[in-house]
Amino acid sequence: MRLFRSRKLPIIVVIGILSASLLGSFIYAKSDSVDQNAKAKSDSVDQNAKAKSDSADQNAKAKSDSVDQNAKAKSSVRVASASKPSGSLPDETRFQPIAENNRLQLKADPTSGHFTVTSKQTGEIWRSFPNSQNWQDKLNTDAWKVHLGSPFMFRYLEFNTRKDLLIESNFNAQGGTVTGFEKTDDGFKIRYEMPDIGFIIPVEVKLGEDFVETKILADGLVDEKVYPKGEKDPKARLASIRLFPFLDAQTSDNEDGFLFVPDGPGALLDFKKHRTGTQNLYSERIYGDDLAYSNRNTMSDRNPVSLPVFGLKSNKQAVLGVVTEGGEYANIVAAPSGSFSQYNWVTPEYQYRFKFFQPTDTKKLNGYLTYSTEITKSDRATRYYFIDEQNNQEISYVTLAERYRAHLMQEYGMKPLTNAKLKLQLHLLGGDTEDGFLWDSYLPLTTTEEATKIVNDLLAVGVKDMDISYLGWQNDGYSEYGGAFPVPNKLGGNEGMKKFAEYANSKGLSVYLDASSYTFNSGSKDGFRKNRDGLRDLGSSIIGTVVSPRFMEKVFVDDLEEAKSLGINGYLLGYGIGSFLNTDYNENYLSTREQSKEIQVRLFEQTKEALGDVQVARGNEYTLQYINHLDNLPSTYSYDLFVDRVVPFVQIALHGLTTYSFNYANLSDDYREAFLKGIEYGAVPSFVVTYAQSEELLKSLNLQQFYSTNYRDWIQEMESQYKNYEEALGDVQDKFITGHRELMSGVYETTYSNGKQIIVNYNNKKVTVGSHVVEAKNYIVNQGGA
Amino acid sequence: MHKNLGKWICSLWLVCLISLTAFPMEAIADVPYRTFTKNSYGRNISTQPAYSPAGVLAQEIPIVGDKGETQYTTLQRPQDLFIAPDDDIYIADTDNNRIVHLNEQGELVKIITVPKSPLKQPQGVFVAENGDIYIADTGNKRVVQLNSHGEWIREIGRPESRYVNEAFVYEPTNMVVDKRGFIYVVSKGSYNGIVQFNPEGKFDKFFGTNKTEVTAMDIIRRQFYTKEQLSRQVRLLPVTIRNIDIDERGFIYTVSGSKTEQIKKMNIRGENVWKDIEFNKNMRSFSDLDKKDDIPVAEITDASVDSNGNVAIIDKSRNIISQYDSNGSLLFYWNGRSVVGKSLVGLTTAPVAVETNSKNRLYILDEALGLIQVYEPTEFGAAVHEAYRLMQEGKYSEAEKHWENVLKLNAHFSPAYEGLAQAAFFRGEYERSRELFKLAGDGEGYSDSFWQLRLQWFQANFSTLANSVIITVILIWFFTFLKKKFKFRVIPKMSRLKRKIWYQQAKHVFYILKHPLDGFTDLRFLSKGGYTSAIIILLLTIGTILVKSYYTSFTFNPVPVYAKGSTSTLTIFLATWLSWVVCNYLIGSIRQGEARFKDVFVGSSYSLFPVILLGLPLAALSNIFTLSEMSIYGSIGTGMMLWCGLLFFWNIQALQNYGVGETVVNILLTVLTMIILWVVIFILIGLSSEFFSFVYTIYQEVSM
Repeated sequence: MRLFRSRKLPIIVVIGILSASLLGSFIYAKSDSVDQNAKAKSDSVDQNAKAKSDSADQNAKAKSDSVDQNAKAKSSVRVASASKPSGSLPDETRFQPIAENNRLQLKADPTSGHFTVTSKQTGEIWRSFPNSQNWQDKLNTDAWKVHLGSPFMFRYLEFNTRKDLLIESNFNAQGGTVTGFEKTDDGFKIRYEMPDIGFIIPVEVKLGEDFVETKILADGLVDEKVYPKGEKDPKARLASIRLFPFLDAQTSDNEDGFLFVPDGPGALLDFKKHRTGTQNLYSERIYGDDLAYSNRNTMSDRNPVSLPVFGLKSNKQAVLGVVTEGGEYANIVAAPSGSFSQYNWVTPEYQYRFKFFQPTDTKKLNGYLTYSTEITKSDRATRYYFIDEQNNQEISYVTLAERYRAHLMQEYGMKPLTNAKLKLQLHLLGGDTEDGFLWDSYLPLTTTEEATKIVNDLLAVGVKDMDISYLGWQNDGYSEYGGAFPVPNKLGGNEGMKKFAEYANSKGLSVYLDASSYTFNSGSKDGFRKNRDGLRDLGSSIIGTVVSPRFMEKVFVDDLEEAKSLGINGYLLGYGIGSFLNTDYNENYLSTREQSKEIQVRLFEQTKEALGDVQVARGNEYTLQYINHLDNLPSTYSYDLFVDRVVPFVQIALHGLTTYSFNYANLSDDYREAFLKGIEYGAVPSFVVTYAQSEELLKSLNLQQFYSTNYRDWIQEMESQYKNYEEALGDVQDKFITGHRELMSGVYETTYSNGKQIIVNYNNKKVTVGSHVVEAKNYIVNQGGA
Repeated sequence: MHKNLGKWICSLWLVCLISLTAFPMEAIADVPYRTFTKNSYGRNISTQPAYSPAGVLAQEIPIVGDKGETQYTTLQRPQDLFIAPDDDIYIADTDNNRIVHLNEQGELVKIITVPKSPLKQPQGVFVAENGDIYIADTGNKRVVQLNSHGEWIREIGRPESRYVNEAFVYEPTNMVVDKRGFIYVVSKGSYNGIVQFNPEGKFDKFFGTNKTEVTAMDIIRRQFYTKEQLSRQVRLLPVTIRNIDIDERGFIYTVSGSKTEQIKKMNIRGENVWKDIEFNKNMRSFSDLDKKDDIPVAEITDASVDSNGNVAIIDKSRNIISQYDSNGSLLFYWNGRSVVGKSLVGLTTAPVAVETNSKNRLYILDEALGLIQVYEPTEFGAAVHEAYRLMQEGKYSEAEKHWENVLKLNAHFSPAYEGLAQAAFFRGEYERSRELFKLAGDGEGYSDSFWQLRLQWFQANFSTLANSVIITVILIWFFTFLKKKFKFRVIPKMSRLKRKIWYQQAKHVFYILKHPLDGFTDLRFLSKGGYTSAIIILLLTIGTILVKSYYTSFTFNPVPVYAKGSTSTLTIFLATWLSWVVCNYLIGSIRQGEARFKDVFVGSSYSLFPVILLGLPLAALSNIFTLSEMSIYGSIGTGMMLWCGLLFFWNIQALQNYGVGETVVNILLTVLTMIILWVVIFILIGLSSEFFSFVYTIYQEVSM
């Protein structure tokens, strides 16, 4: 009651009213600000709503069907106004000879814009359009008939209609004409013009020794049309082109071929008359997805394409495609027969504009999908190697891989290994940061002294040759990035590392430090400021802890001297140095995907120069010429249901040029199968271990993926694997793989150039192959001719 | 570490966006999904796959036509799968109105359409031990029984009984038959439970009826609504049963769409063995990442028991496959990103039925893809299963070898530590079992081991202990005797310290303990307290709290060190204390209290003294106590808090010069003010951050 008698009552009332009104106004202001926001955004709301309604099928790949539908609708509208597009294939009799060499003859048709290549030796013909044999009208939709006859398919956007929807079309459907055809010394130049939409695509075709190279020139590429006043400009812009997508495309009627796509070790899609599903499509970006366009875009779950190569074999002929220019802006697309059309086809798709999510609030939750407005121009070239059957030896994926191996040697100057020994890849996990009560502390897992012990023990049990890679050696341990040097004192410091390297070198072993962590920076060391030096996407948002490539280059190069002073033999690179490739829209360090690639190549060069050796984990094609060893290569495909066979294409191409290893044997899903796969594919064994008990790893919350690393648990396995590998593959490390085939279900034979044969049996029961018996889940070695 | 990075970079990237922790440093197995388990503390941790994909079956069913040509047909919206004891596979191919019978390799054995009385939308199939085929012929509202060659035996139609009322809709979707020949039929949308028929096909009873889920809102409604209003309400009905399975020992498993106890494991009397378990709780799913806007609600569609009693559960909408052991504790779960239009081996998009064959392979029928995904246990998965099985049979020492193997394969799989700990405890190696229980996060086990250790210690050291107690008592007595006689000081006089005012003031806290009311009054009127001394006491309290939470034994605080969270404890403590001081002062000043701000500050700080006094002994005690002395430990803790509370009470009373009633009102008002204060602070933070981001956006747009 005192309250009411007191003089303070009015004050309380005033405070009450004030706070109430304050609260009220806050609430009001909040709702108001929402309104204003809505108004401010009003012009994008439309887009927004559309984007939302469309969000279920954001994924272009998954959506290809609906895009197709749209394309059909669109093209049918266009068709009515333009000249009737021909839904048929070009007439081969009209083709004129253009160029020839001693193996191939190139003919072209200036009207349709197509070409054919004839082998002088066997008379095999490769066409830039589908083989008309077995063409059945009813098996192809009208839209696809037009696609099949066109020299290229393309996708475009109408920015003034809808910013996030690709429209699929092609040269013929647009009523396009060839406006320039010019013979050159070894081929021709051609200009495809589509006046309706205002696009001009200049293409150059060159005949080489056993190949044809097609190139879309950046110079002269036009994708804008000037509209007369009063007419509405839909702002049609080019998004992507598939040039000669049906080059050598075949139907499955004879079931005598396959498509090859570079998924994992290599995947084949056999020509099959019956195949379930009508939406089977392989489409993957070369060198993987780009983080600069990643926000809200579903990125691929497949293995990234690290070699830009694809192929097709039918009956007695085959073609191996290699993207030689602009690979970083291309996808590899393949579709088996029965999906979209009756043809099996595989092609590169050159990208010119990229989908991304433009957020409209700072939390990046709302926004709309759109495409980059600026065109990314550069020359895009693909080389098609034509292979015909020699000496009645059926062409297989081995033939294609061998041609690709020759390509790597010719174009990148890769040399066959000489006197290569089989080396066990020993990865040591140095340390990590341990979460503590008041502060975090360093958690040493394998100090340099302990590393010496491990190496000593391994030498003692007979593992003679090793490459030792130190992971998590950097200052704050495995899961903290930035400020790599000096090696932490608890690990042994720079001195300890130096001593360890000396010791290892004295035993003839090489020591590598894992330097892929330069890709990231999770703190502020190296003068890194996230807002200034972090990788940014097209919407200018910072991406995780990824560092701008240019900033990374600086830090990396600055640290090289110190690395050199440790006396180590090289770096193990990976991630943003050699494996994934990003555009950077950070204003301070702008870099295109192409420039990022150049930066990565420079880092490889400099590392090699400064330290001597480089290894790379999951390296892309452009890193191969610098490396001694390819680490962590994927050994399986991406589990696509339409893939019929998984083949060691990559391994056949690389064996004898460089050594390679798969996932760490002690972290395999299936230990025995992983081991057999390594033997079959000619890999070398690889392990990751710690001196500390595996339990110690529980102290860090970021090492969950290292299930089992205690070296005492694995030393026996390391010894036996090394001995088994050494026995099977020790003398063929510098030999090429010349044959690989499936003898019966689950039994594979690999042949080396010296005649040595390995037969691996994955089945649960023993099998008899010729005169040999192979035990269940085991293998035999045939010394062969050598 | 570099493994399959590209495959997962996107998911990690999204995870990153949320947590902003380490970027993509997680290795992933070579399968198109990720396997997780929960560690001792309920955290999701990834493991290597427990099952690996072993291919797909029934992708196309070849039918030889009249002219000998082979036609390929695909399954159309298949709804059920059954694997017979001989591992043959039966599929209820619903929209094709047929049952497809395949052998173990997936080759077609026969197609059952029952030409005599054609099937219509059959949704379930079951094969009894004698080979009889039971078909839930949903469209015809009957259960059809055929012999093993597919020849007609009988049909079981609508149950006739006075217990079945007219409104009951009988649309069988699935059924099981037990060893005695009783038939348990799931009827679509039936809230009465399973319809149980006796072997003659006569209605027996309703079985395993679910309870009605009543929410608090329903109870309130029932209190206040009139009869008429209540009658207009939707009637509260039990959750319907969706699916059913039976294991070798006759346990019947039902699947319902409820929130907890989605799977019931029932004995023959219909009693649920798995009480109060919430399945698939807090699991990570890729579908959540992809559809941030509307996270799909779990929809458990089927469960299957393997020969070890482990139960595999599938969730159709979130695409999670999980496996629980026979006690209902989680073993693993896995899921992957399923993209519409892209079908992968080993990745389900809309799983509707799951079965296990005699080799413990999992078969999952996918409605959308129209095929069966087959999984086989990996070495790791098999090792875990085996270890669990032995442990459940009570063969601890035999299980130990298997647990060690599991740990060799994955040292992060914490249930293995539990298994090893139990084995060690069983053998009497209490020191080891204590360590292992700690690794397994099991406070109770830890306490039990410690109890044993303590007992052993007492037994070994009782005489020494008793002797030393006697000696100490004698010594103390002797010492006091000497002290009395010679009057010497044990602690030298710290005259310099004594001269400091803050020291004197801090010492006053002991006086307060003895005479709280007087002591607090003296604070104000005799200047017995100052900011320095108050801050010292505050800092001491903070120190004590930290030391206490760090040193409290695992028995009483079974969390790992990093999870004890020093920062959060400190922030909460300081924020509460400071806002208390401020609010208490404000309330005091408008309610005719006499305390100055300084008094409130000092008083509130001095009132914390019991924490300093008792916190450390409590932490020490926790290290010699076990859970059986929980009551003593708990009462000391409560006593400490009560003492603090009383001191606060007296401090307000004395400093503000209030009566008891006024003090109570004052405390209530202070608490209310604190709440308002925090609400306002959060609103302000929220609004100002909106405002700043608004300004920032404008800046960005202008500068661009």
